[in-house]
Order: sequence, then structure tokens, then C-alpha cells
Amino acid sequence: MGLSAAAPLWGPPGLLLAFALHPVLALRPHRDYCILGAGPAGLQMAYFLQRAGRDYVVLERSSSPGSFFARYPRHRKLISINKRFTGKANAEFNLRHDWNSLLSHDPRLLFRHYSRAYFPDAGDMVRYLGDFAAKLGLHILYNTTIAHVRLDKDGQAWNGHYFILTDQKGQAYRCSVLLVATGLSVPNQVDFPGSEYVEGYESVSTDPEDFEGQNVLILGRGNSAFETAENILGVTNFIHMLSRSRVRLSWATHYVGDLSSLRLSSGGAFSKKYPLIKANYESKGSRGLFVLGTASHSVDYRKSAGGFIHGFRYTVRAVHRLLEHRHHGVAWPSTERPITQLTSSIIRRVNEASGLYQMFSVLADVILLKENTTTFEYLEEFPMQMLAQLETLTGRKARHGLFIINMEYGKNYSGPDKDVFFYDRSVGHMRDAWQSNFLHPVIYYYRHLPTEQEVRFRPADWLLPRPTAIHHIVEDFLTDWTAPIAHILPLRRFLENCLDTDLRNFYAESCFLFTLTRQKLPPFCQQGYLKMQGLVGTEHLRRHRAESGLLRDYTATSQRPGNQGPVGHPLAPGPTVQPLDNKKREL
Amino acid sequence: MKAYLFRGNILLREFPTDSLFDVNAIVAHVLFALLFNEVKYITTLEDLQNIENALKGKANIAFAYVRAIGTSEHRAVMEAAFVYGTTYQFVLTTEIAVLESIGTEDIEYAHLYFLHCKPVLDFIQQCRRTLMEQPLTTLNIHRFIKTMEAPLLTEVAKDPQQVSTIHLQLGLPLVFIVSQQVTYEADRRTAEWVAWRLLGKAGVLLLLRDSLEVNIPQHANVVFKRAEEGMPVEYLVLDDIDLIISRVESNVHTQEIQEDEDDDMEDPDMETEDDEVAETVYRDRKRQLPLELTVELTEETFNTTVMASDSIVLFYAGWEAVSMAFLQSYLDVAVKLKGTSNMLLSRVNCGDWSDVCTKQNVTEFPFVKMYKKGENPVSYAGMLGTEDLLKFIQLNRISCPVNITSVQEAEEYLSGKLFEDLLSYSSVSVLGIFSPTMTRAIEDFTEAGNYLRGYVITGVYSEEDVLILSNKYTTTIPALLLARHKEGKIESIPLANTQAQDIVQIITNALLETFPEITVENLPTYLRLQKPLLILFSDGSINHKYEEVILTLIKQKHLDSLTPCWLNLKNTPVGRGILQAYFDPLPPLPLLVLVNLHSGGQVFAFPSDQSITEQNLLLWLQKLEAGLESYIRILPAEEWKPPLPAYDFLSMMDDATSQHPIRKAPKCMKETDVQENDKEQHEDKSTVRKEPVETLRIKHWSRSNWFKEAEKSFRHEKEL
Repeated sequence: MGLSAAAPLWGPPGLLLAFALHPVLALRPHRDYCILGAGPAGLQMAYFLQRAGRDYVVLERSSSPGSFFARYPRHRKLISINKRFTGKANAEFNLRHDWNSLLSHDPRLLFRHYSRAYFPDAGDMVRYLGDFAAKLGLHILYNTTIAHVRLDKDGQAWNGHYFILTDQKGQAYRCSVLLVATGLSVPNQVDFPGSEYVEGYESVSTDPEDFEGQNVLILGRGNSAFETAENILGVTNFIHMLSRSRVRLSWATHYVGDLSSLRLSSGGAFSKKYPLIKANYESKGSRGLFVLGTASHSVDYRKSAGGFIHGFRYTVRAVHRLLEHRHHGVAWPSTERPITQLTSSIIRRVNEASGLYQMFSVLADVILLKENTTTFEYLEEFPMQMLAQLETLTGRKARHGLFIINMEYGKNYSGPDKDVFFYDRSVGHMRDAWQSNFLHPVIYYYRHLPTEQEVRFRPADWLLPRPTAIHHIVEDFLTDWTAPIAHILPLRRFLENCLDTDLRNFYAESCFLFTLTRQKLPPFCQQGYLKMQGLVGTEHLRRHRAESGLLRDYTATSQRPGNQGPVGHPLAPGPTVQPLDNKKREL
Repeated sequence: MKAYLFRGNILLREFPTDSLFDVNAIVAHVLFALLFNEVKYITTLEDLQNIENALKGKANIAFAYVRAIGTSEHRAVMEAAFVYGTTYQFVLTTEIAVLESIGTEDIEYAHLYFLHCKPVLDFIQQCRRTLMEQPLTTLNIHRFIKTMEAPLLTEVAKDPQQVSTIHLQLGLPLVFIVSQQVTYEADRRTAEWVAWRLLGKAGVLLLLRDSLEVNIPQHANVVFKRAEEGMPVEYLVLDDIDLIISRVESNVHTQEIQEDEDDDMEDPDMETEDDEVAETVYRDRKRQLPLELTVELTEETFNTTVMASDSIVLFYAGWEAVSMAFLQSYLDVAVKLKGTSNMLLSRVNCGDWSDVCTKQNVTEFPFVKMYKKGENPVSYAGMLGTEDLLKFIQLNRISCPVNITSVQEAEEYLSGKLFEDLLSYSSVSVLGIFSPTMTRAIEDFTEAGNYLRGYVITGVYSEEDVLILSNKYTTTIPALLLARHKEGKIESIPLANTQAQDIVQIITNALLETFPEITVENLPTYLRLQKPLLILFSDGSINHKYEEVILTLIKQKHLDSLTPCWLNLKNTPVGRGILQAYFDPLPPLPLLVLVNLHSGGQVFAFPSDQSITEQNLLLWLQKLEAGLESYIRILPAEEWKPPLPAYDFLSMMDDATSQHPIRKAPKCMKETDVQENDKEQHEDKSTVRKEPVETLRIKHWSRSNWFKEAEKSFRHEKEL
């Protein structure tokens, strides 16, 4: 999607947050979850609730899902890319380049089966959303316009109150949780002398002939403005485009809301446009009211993709997981793994995870260390600004330190007016990784869960409070972070130093040697070899090992008396490493 | 753009910014401006001679040639001048001609001469020159100047072992010229001559033999003492002075080489792979693997394939070293099974088919699962190697436990005839015998057999005529019959309300041998017994004599508190590494060793001068138990710490924001030091801020501080 031009979908402006106090109507069916709007965000939430077996209903004003796309964009071409082939098979990775699909377990419900166009037609989106709702059997009440929403205080209710929704026929619905997924419904009216001649985007003609031989002034230089201009370019005398700020191209800002090759946008007074919500997408005013989809973009406005399908499909999932814990005692999904899998777990996620990539710096993975750091728990795509409340929000414990895995652009990288192709913009060496400019993985280590205070008063331009230690994986143009020396090795060293242990892998033969010559074993031998799951290796590998000098080849060494030198020396734990003396390099 | 240097509010100098091209240039330029009087810049030989003449009898000169201003060599010289500038006259040139005229060859590099002008009393006499041979770094200059300051020749009358001078501390050897009263004058002249030749390379001392209390070998005329601690002094008989010189020079040389090697060994690059699995897989990356022997499964083919045929699936990831190492063993299994097995060997690359792996609950790599029609998938939990996986696949050809239908079949099963081809994979066959009514016991046994599938052959017999078997093997039902095929023995173990878990335990214990050959593969099984290991290290097969000795002691129950075993160095060459850790020097094999792995880590060795007989061994064990034997080693109890530091990006970021120049050298991170580092950072910043106003005071503080730091880092270097 990505088109967030103002369009009155839900009747009078400001309705949703103005809770009128009407007398209770006779029959009010109860639903645990009520979703307003069967657009992409509403359908996405409905899908998760359905899979979890929850009591929910979607209330939709029109007669089919995705009515926004039946009308917008006016010139029918979507600006969200539909890259059908990425050269990779990994379905999770491919979602990084699929900006239109909703998340589901059914691979047939991927948008690439609905359109071949790189910038697809809006009609295909309508068809796709219709199929999504129908094939998954989502519970949607069509032709239901909610005219009033009010709060009904009740100590029994999950959130201390019920949401009473009344539709155009006077039918009321009582909901424990209200999920608003209506998009943005208020057009941004401009008031200036002559504004009476303004034709809004929502009603402007899409027929170029209507503009023949005219001088046209377009207010705004966003995606809608350019879309309109492109359409009438051939027939007009002059087109003037006017706006408060310069043109921002999305490849310069890495923000989809900016023009993607001279198309699309949302200008407008931000504060009026988006409702006030917290980082968990809950309304600041009413507990139990969540804002999903385009309207939730305030959380990451101008930073990440939360205002677009390819962003909010993940934030909706995060909201669902929070709700599962809050109301059903289902802890945030996680897997517990041995510490020997730590490096590879992180490498796997940064290479394939689409939620981390699309909602960079908004959703982040969390690794919770368990006692004695022999195992860890992996939680995916947690709203990182809620970090301080992690324990209460997820039902998981963070008592022994934690890692946060986030994707970030360089601090100096993008922004309007910056030349993103500046000289020396890419960082090649891993020791300069912290200066990486392109989107790259950043890992924060905290010995203790940060407090709310620490999150709130974090240093300027930090996403999170100052960590105990931080690691950047050096940027890679193909977002392929699997190089053994450039990516994996520095990550392992970082993790080792945070955990104060040795995370190397060893062959069974080395573990055998350590077992009989030392009292303690490295984690890999403890968790593998000692449990009779050692890595044996083949003859080829054994030869390479002897050549590398990492373990002496004892088959070759004949018995030489007085042949000293510590056994398997390079592998053995050495003396504690001193940090480089800071002053040594200075006077 | 320009940079300005102030002292207080007086402008000292301005610099075009292009001259401040890096940290070295900045430090060099600033010091050059501040030390204007201490460092004389010259352009001709005449300038140098004038300075020399002026200082004769007064002070020594440090004369340096650097290729350009602002280089790291220039910085090193300026830093040395900062410390020693008041003691010595520093002279600097960038003119090659000056250097040529004093007869230097090889002017490509920076040079530093020490001109000994202070001792020169006669005006026409030249100042002696000593060339520093090491590269120009601050530390090397410091070390060099220190040796210039030291007395040229010292007389001692002490045991050379006890003597220490500044040279030793600086890592240079000492040369003692042994002198007698009779030849004292000549000896002294020789020693002085040697001392000049070795200036900056070694300390030279005159050792007065007559007043010495300790004895030194009679003919020795030179004593050589290395800087390394704990090295014995060498007493030499040298006829030629040049031999002394060459000895020192070759020693310096080898020492340097050694140092280099040490550096590589002890302080390897953070960017060098030190994970043996990752390194070997990387080194092997170009070899073509016979992947075609296994079927690659995809999201589309996975379900249909594992439903259609019995399959083993390896889940791996291309970037994960352990799974790539194991993939090779997996392919070896495929080679061995080619055309003989109806088990389909397949693999899923989780880097490509992430969803398949997630759906199969695979979150770790590598992971092996077996899918059989109508059964739940079984996860493989054995060694990640060819042998064990092959065994797992082969033993899974039969159901576990296998249903035996007649006494005759049971006998065939126990004799090994029934599954002859599987005997090489399971040396023990287990048969549970029950009467048909013992449903509960049969269930428990079946569960145990299921649990052990792929590791040992189990069978169950529960027909009416089961008493024939129980009578034959003199047991009561329910019972286990264990057939040890190698030894041709069948034992029976009665079961009485034994839970599945306990049956598993009984069977696994029964698999253990009484006097096994210990291998890389089976050691963990024996470690589970938590007993000290009594290991006989043997070069090749074990001598029958010794085997009998130990087997006898086992029979007599003398070894019950131990796990007796032997190690064949031909099969397990890494055993040599173990012996080297235990013995120095290594006595001849065989060696009998007791290792107390689980409590204390002491290693005891059976005296190698005694022969291994029942009596000797028993006596030794009794003394051990009584605490009368002393151990030869205690195994190190060190924790496994990070092998190397990591980049400390946090402080690099701090540096950048606090407007420090960006450091070229990578910072390293050590978790425990993070907080201390923080503190240091703050101190750093505050001193930097003060600098413009308090240059002088800082300078004084830094002089002594720099000195200490240099000393400290030097010592640190030596320790390494």
C-alpha cells in the first residue's frame, strides 16, 4: 500500500475518539475483540485472532474488504513493489521484497500470485484482500458502519471498561478490546485565499482530457501530487508544484512515504493526521483500544514502514502477541536453545527475517540469557521502545542479561537533502562496522533489563539506552551477512566477551583432549561431546586442521622426548587478554 | 582552513590543515612547535658539526634523519625529545645529503644516531657514533637511549646468576668477560672494546674471578646470560672476540624471530579464525562435494518425499560451520549406503527453506531426523560422524524391539544368526522374555527398546512356551537376555516391576565393557560412571600380559572404584597430546596413569621403573588410596574465557562524539573492563579539554607519565 492520502472512509471526522454517552441499547452481542475496518491491517489482525481461536469480529462499512483500494490511488497504480523473484527460495527473506502480501500460513495467499506488475494495479489488491478474507474464512460483518463508540465502565471487563459500538441501524456491539484499523479518514484541508478553487485528490478527475490546455497548480510534492502530475503532464500548458519542503526521494531517505521515483506521498500536519498512541500501539487515552495499520504510523513516522502493508503486517502480529499474553496468559512465543547456537541464531535472523528488516528500529529481536548462560530464549520482533516493560508484556524473564538484535541505518546516512551516494559512503572493514551507513544489524548487550527511566532519558539519537556493549555487523550491499571472517567471527568475539566464555566449535578429538587434560570444558564440548553428540569430522577436514595448525597432528608426530610446548596450544584458553592500553597511543 | 596552536593566549603557530593529515602528523607538528629549542632542525653537515663541536665535553646528541615531517618516525623522535629533550640535544634532518656525508648506507629508512660527545675532551677528536638498528618507534628509541645512558662497562664480583642490570630489564642479554688479577688490564681493554661493539645490543661486564665466591668452570672466559627469565647462564670458552659479538648478534636475531613467533602464537590477530571447525570448513570450501548422492528437499517436495518413503533428513545451513562439517560425514554415509539401503538420504538447506525447518521444529543446526511411514519422526541424538549415523540407519532397518515368534527364532536371534549383517553395528543383542499376560512389563520393555532404537538391537518374546528360554538361561520371567556376540556369552538379568527408564539404564550399562579400549567416540559413555580413569597408554595393541593383570584385578574386585581402560595410540593418536600434558619428559610406553577427572584433577603415574604386575599394581593402588603417592600433575582448572577481545565499538563511538581524532587502531573490548574503560574515557576527555590552557603543566605531568607508561608497556611486551 503506502498511499495514505486523506479519504473519508468512516463518515464524520474525529468520530472514533469522540465517545458519546448514549443510553444502552437492548441487545448487544459481546465480542472479545472488535476490529474496525476490513482493510489490510484489519484482515491481518483477524487472521491472527482466528488462528489463536479467539472470539472476534471485523466490522466493515462497505460490502467487501479493502474498499480503500477500490477508489485509491486515483490513478490505479500501487507504489508498493511486487518483486516476484529475488533469486532466493527463502520465503521469509522474500517478504523483504514483497510489500503487498499479508502474513499467513498459506503460501498461495502471496501477492505475487495476484499480479505480475512491479508496481501492481490497485484492482489486484482488492481481489487479493477479498481472497484473503474468503479463503481463510475470517469473520467479517460487511455493510456495518459504526456511528458511535463509547466506553462502558465495568470492573469485570478486561480493561476496566467495555467498548460499546453502535452501527447505522442502531445495533450495538460490546467489545473487550477495540482494534481500530480504519486507515486515515480526514482529508487535510488547506485554507488560503483561492482555496475554494482547490480540487481534492479524493475527487480530482483522472481523465487527462479534463485538463487540456490549462495551467495547473498542484499543492504538495508528495506521491499523490506526482501521480496526478504525471497523469496530466502531456496535455497541460504548465504544471506548477508547490510545497513547504523540497522533494524527498525515497531512495534518498529510505522511507517509502517519500517519493519512490517521483510518485506518492503524504505531506500534512503530522500531529493532526495521526492519533496519539504508545509504542505498543495502544491508545494513550483508553486502555484496550489499539490502532493498527496506516493510522499507527505515528510510532515510526518518517522512519520505518509501519504505515504500509509491508510494515504493519509485523506490528499487527506484535500487537496480537501482546494481547495473547495480556488476556490469555500465553507468553510471547520463544524457543530455548543451547548457548552454542547463539551465534548462528543471530546470523540466521539477520539474514532472513523480514520483520526486522521492514520495521527496522521499531521491532527488534530479544535474546534472554538463562542462568549460568548455558541456554537462551529467543523472542522475535518485539516493539523495542517497550523494552523496559518486557517482562510484564511478554511473560518472559530477563534476569541474566539480554541481547537486542536490531537493524539500523548509519546515524549520518539518510535524510532529505543528503547525497546518499557520497564519497566513501560504504564501510568495508569490519572494525569500522560501527560507521556503516546502509541498513545493517546492530546488537545491544545489557547486563540488566533497562528501566523505563533509562529508556526515556536515553542519549539523543540513540534508539535504546546506553548498552553495556554494542556490536555492529558491517554493512553489506546484498544484505548477506554470512561471511565467516567479516561477519561471523567478529560477532562471535563480541558475544564471547559479553558472556565471558569461549564460544568456539571443536571437533570431538579436541574435546577428547580437553576432557583428559583439563578440569573444565568449553560450552561446545560440554553440550555436544560430553552428551555423546560430538562432531567427528572427516579425513579431509582432519587434514585441513593439521595444516591450519589449530590442533597438532599427532599421527605425524613421532614420539620426541623433551618435545615441550603446551598441548594444542592455540586452542587452549590463553592468559586473560588485556585491553589495549588507552594511553599507550597518546602522550 | 587552518589550525592554530596557542600557549595560554599567545599564538605559537598556525598550521595548514593539509599538513595535519593524520594523528602522527598532528602530534609531530605540535611537539615540533613546542620543542623548538630542544630539537634543532638542520639541513647541512656543517650545521651538525657546529652543534657537535659546541657540545663536546658537555652533552650527548641524538641525531635523527626522517624522510618527511609529520611521519610516524618523526612523531617517535619528537616524543622521545619530549622526554629526553633536556638531557640530550636532539638534532633532526630530512636531508639525505647530511646522512650520506656521515657515511650511512641504505638511506631509504629513518635513522637515529647517538653521538657520544660528552666524553670528548679534545676538540679535534670526533664524537663516537652509535647507530640504532631497530626501526624508529617511540619504544625502541626509549630502549636505545636507556642503553646509551647505562655505564659502558661494569665490574662485578658476584654470581652471574644474581647479576641484573638495566639491559636485562630492557630484554638485552649480558656478556661477562671473565678476568683474573694477572691479566686484569688486558681483560679490561678487551671488555671495553667489546662493550663499544655491543653498545645498544647487550650489557658488558667484567667478572672478577678471584674475588668471586661461587665457582665457575675453570676454562670459561665468557659468561652469557639471556634476558629471558629462568634461562640458565652459559659458560663459554671463546678464543676470538668476534665470536662474542656474533654470538650476541645471532642471539638478538633469533630472539627477534622468536618474539615474532610468540606474537603470532599468543596474540593472534582478532581477525584470524581460531575456530577449528569454521577454519577447516573454510579451507575445504573449494572441494566439490558429492551432493548428488543425497536428495535436496524443498518446501514443495518435503512433505511428499518423507511421506512416500522412509527418509533421513539432514537440516543444515550453508553458513553454519558445524553443519557443513557434518554434511561431509553425511555424504560419506550416503557413499557407504549407495544402492544397499531403502532409506532415502535427503537434506534441507535451512538457509533456503527456512519455513520447512521451522515447521519441523528445527531451531538448531545441524539436526537429523528420521521419518518412517506411520511413525512419529525420530531425532538423531548420536555423535555427528559417519560411523554412528551409519549404525543408526542400519539398526533402524529392523523395528525395535523386534517381535520374535518362536523359541527357535529366539535362539537364532541370540546366537546372532538372525541379524548377522547388523552384528558389526551392535555387539550386543537384547531379548526381553515375558509370559503373554505380562502386558505391563512388555509395554515398559517396548518403550525402552523404542528409546534405544538405532543404538542397540532389542527383541521381545512373549509366547506361551517362554519357560523353555527362561529355564535354559536359568532365570525367572520377566527377564532380559543379553547376548554378547564377541565373547559368545549370554547373560540374564531378571526384571521386577522395572520401569522403562530403568530398563534403558540396565541395557546401556550392560553395553559397557569391563576393560575397554578408550576412544574419542566412547570416552563420554565411560565418563558417565563418574569414577577416576585408570588408563594404560599403549603404542599399538595392548600386551596380553598387562591385559591379564588388569582383568585379574577386575575379577578380584580391586578396581571397582575405578574405570579401568586402555588407549591405543595407533587408533587414537591424540593420546600423545594427553601424555605430553602429563609427562615431561615422556617415559617409554606403556604407561599406566590414574586420572581423577571428577574431583581435583590429579594425575598419578604408575612408576615406570616398576613392571606392571598384579602385586606392584595392587600395592600402588593401596598407596594411592592411603594418600601415600604424590600426583605428577594437577589438571588446570581454568575457565574457558573469550580467546580474544572484541572490537569495542562503544568507546570508538564515544571517541567520535567527544571529538577525539578517530583512532586507526581498533579498540578491543573485554566485558569485565567495560566500566573501567568508561572511567578512563572520562579522565581522557577532561585532560584533553584542559590542554590548551595548561600545556606546560600537562607537559611536565606527561613527561613522567609517559615515561612510566613506556616502561609499563615495555614490560608488558616482555611478559608476552
